[in-house]
Amino acid sequence: MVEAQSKMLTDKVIAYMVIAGIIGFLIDIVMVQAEKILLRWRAQ
Amino acid sequence: MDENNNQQVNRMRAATNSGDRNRWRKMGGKNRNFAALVALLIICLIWFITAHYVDKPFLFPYLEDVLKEVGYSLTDMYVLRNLGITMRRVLTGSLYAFIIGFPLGMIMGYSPQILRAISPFMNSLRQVPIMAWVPLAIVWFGIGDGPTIFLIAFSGLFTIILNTISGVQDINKDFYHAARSMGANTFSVIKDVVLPGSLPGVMTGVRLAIGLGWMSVI
Repeated sequence: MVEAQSKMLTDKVIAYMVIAGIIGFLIDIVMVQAEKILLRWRAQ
Repeated sequence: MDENNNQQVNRMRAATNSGDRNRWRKMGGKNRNFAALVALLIICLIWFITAHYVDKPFLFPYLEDVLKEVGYSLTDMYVLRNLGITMRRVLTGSLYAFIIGFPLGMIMGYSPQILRAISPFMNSLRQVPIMAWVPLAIVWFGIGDGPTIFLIAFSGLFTIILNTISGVQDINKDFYHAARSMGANTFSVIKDVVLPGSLPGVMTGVRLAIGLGWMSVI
């Protein structure tokens, strides 16, 4: 990412941004599932 | 009588059809988020058309180039190894933020006196820009994982504290009254009322902290 930024390779920078966003989204999904398991007792 | 029976049969048939349509919409009883998929396809289509219309890949890269780079990066071991290292740092930093933030948030949420005592310092400290901590982090922890993990923990710490405080304060006072009326001591109240009751706020704080940690390290 740093190399792509310094060389102004905008397609690589956006590609790494997309990957970071996908991984962040997956982390969020895992946390939502953990929340559903731990908070099963809560009325929906 | 026959008319009533026919009306009843028609109502039952309509109800069955309505149920079938609901099941079709829900694809066998489970919700599917087709709207997000359609939105993603529309965004990709707009990107594709606009990038080719602008025709300056440096300013506005083509969708196909970006997708090719994404595919190449996800199969490149160097990128995957670095992503793994980054993920390890984020999880370690978030764990430290949780270890420090959760008990502090619980104490501050449970005790108004402690909340009043610590809040001014906490609210001042959390306004300090994270980049201001970088030189100090390097001096304290040296070069390597130390400063990164410190910055990740710092960025998530106050989120966990504030959400834990909110989780504890959102517990209905009736639960405390009910527990006390059944003879619960302070330890039982904390174990059986405060800890489970504050869990929604704590989980929200942890979720936000991990997201913030990921954002700050990338």
